[in-house]
Amino acid sequence: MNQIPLSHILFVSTALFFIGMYGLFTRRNMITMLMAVELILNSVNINFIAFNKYLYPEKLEGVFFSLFIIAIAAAEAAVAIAIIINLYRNLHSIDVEAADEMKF
Amino acid sequence: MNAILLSAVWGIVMMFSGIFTTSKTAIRNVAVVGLVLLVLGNYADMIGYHLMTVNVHKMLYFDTFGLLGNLIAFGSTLLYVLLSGRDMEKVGHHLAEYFALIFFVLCGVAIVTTFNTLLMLFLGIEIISIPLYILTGADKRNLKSNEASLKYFLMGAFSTGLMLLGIAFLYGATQTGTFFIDDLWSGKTAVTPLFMAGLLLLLVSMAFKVSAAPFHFWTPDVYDGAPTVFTSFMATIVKVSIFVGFIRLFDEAFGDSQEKWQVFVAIIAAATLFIGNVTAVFQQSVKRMLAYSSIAQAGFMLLALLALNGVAKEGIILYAAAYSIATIGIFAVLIRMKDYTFEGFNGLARQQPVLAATCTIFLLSLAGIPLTGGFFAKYYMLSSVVATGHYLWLVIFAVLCAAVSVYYYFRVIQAMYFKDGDGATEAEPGLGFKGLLVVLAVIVVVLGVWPQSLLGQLSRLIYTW
Amino acid sequence: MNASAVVFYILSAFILATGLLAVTSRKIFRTAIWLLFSLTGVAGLYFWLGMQFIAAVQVVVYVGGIVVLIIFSIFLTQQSGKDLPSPLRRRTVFSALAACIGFALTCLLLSRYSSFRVKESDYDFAPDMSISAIGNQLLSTSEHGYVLPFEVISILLLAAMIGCIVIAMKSKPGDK
Repeated sequence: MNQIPLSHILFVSTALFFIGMYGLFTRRNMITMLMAVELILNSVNINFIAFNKYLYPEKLEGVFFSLFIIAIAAAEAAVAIAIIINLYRNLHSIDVEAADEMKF
Repeated sequence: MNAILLSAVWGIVMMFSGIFTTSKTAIRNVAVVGLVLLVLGNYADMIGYHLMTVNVHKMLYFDTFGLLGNLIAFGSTLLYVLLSGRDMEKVGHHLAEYFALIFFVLCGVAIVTTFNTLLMLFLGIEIISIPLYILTGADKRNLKSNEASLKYFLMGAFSTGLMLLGIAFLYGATQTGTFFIDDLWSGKTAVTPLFMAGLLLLLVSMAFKVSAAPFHFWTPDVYDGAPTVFTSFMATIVKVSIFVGFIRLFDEAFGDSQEKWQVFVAIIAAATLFIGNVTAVFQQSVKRMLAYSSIAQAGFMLLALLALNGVAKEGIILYAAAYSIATIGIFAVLIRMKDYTFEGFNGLARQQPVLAATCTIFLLSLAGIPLTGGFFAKYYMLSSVVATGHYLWLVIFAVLCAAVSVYYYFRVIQAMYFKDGDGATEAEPGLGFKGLLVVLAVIVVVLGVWPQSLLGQLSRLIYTW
Repeated sequence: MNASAVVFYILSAFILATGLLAVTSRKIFRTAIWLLFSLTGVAGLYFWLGMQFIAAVQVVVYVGGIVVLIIFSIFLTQQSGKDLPSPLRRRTVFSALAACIGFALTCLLLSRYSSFRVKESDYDFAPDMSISAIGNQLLSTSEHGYVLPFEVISILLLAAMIGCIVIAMKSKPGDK
């Protein structure tokens, strides 16, 4: 891994971040939007790990931060799916567009 | 530390109280006892008595500013539960769990107001957010409530993503490889483009959380869709405490590169003031009007972030108290109303003179009329910006916006006093409810008449002990 | 270009391609599978970086937990055979444009690290990456210990658990 400069890893994670953002903006189905959020959180994790490995190899700070991010991502996904299932019970469809009770 | 420990423990106590008793009054009383303990515990922290000594290794830092923020959050939660606790029963069947979630939110509040590393800020914001997604969707059979919670979740998750990216950039930009916010001072960290990008991402994500324009678009829908009892909680206690964290972050971490980001805050503040006030004018529902008014008030609180001097920090505490108490009072009345539109308030003064009179005081305070807490709060905000010597246009703009806000606040007063109608509450409010409203109104007036003596007393109390 | 570099570029291409498919595929079940591949690729990247523990956590939590949860909820809530409605063209164009501009700007920002490589000497004082070392630091109360955030996150998980139960529990008939 000595050959790869840090910026290449960061480019990959940035690309993944914006892929997730693209998905969040274009998708109208709530489960797929949740997936886009997961991609975003993953890309940030790569950032933390790469910075930790390249810039501060004598410490473990970034590793711990990404551990906490993973834990929170799991909790958020569980909450989101509980909300989606409850909404589905009321609506029988989980398109964001179909849920247009509210004015914009 | 007392506050964090007590709120976490009491959240668990609340959870179990739902198993051991089915009496709603008992559950409510347990919650009130917990809040009183929380207020006392936090006060004990201020005067130097700690439940247990925990070496937090600089991850948290308990200074007067943060602890005062805590005190206001806990105190207004206590008033909120006393006023509106009875209305939570109508939302659903999980009363004990709602209280448990509220205590967990307060635990997050205690972390956000005293954090000293970006890790703790992130965790605190998440502890606040996750229970709030649930509370927003607590009215399970109501489609609007479900949708609001989902929308809140998606927006919250996205802004969390932005915040994390910002923290990652800052992590890359520091020389030390830690997350302590005092390592971000320019002596230790060079202000590179990467650093600025991280700073701006943090600014944007925090602006999302306090619903500042142009990142406010989720607020009206979420506040409107959520059960009104919990809207009151979100719009006051949570928003104000995140503001305390916001100011703490920018003061402690980025205070010395202030002139580089000040202009962005000024733009956000101006946009927030403008959009919040102008849109509030066109609302038909009082609940939605209050949602926009909370955006407008956030615009005023952003002025403290812009100035970041002693006046601003003192002022934000006063603003937090005045705004929270007045808004909690109005929401408590609104929850009891049959009809949430402006017409629903027609002729309320004849039917419920006490409710109408106290409501008038709260609205006057929000509009910033002299002799109420809101006036001095706004005065402190404006004078803090004046003290910086720049951004005088923003001060003038803010005053104009405050003048606009008088219109929509007075619309409610006008409906209550000068229009005929049968503006009625769902049930005759009890004597205790009215009494508490009067107490709140008295607090608002006292804050407006002797703000200095009150703040002075408070700080003397803290420093002399 | 040695083997390690080749592995890196293959892994990156894999992550990005499957990630892109995960946000554009029209069949929701396939979307979940593409996401699964992408997350596995990220775990592979962690292995490549020499962070075995994080890679294992990534596999256990994301691949084994979150994606399975997502697939369950797809089965519970949708007809997985049906195509998703295609997004509006205008929205697609604008989102793609915004994402590309954001990507370009961020890359410009990060390009200052282009000469940054791991030095051989760094390995000498690299910390012990074994699981026991990470566990010790995570639960240690000493200077660099992470026991406080650990406790805080346990409160968060408890709150999330209560919340999920409150929301997802079926209310009895006859309830309001």
